[in-house]
Amino acid sequence: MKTPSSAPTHQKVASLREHLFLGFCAVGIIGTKLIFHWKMIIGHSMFFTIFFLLLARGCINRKYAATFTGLLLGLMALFMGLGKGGPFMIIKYLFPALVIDLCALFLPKMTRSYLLCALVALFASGTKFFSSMFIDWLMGVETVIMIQHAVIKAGGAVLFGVAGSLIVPPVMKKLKAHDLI
Amino acid sequence: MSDNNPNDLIASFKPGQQEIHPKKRREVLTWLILIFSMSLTVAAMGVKSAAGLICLTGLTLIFGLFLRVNFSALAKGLKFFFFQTGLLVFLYLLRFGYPDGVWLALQVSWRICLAFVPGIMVFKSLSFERISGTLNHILPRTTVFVLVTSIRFIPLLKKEFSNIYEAQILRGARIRKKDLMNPKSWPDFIHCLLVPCIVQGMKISGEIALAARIRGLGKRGHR
Repeated sequence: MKTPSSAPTHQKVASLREHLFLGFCAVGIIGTKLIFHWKMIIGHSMFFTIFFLLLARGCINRKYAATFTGLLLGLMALFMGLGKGGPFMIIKYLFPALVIDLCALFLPKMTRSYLLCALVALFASGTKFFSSMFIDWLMGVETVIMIQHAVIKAGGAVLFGVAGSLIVPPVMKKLKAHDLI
Repeated sequence: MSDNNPNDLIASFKPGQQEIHPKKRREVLTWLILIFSMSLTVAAMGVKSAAGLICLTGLTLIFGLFLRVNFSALAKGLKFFFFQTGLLVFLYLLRFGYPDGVWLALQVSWRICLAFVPGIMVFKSLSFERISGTLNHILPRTTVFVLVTSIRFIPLLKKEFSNIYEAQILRGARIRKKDLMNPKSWPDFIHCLLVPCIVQGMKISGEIALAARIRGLGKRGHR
């Protein structure tokens, strides 16, 4: 987002505006989760999760943009009782967000390229493997089954996550064309 | 006696008698509920025996009764666990065969359910204002403000989204549910729905930020 002149009040308003936009990105993920709620299709919620996390990082040029969105998303999911993971909801959304912010440090223009978006989405959605394994390990699931369960969940998440990342470049191009970012 | 009148508050304190302010008492109770729910979650991870699981289920039910949870609504929300149980039973059957696989899978599913249900019960039964008041002690003020505002503005965002959706359909955009089954309509979804909604979100966030700063958010400690 473009910030106006560098007077302190304007900077504070711009900063709060950016944080609120990140909050609305989290609301977008929650909203799409409620609208497209298909229990039997594993990983489908990753489609819009990755899209909005990448959008947040692309529109707001702050190192923690996606992480902040992920944190808000986890807290919102907890408050609204959308969580199947209880308090682990925050971890589930923080992992992909942290990966996106980390990748953005090395690839600052990733949201303009289809290939880079897909690559980042692959890594970000792939964290589902670790979060799923972590929760199953805490619950005492047998090791081989833990891995199989995590692979099934991560497979679906990666497919939908990569698909969701591919709509980020055209959206960013449109926003850039209208001088909004 | 009102909570906000300082004279009433001062008058209510007598020498030698200490009384906890009602608001403080509610905050302490909220903390205790959150800590107890976390304890039940941790206990569910540690319990291995069937007897332990039965005791924990009893404790969780009592906790639910204390929170006055609507159990029928809660049961509807736990439908996901049936799907997860089915998947685990399938994987355990492949590994351990019948009947050992079934009992092991059911035990694990039971444990997962007991780990997640206390948290779901707490957040469904406690009001959002109560929990956000507690969060003020853990998270930065801006984060809590953004969280509270985002949730508060969900109805407005929903209304804006509906207006944009209806306006675009009147313009001829192929964004109805049946249209989205056809991949040729997907560019319409991106350019006619997603982008305008994002732009509207940027506009609303700017307006709220300006209003909040004008009201003095962040200038004083309690604002």
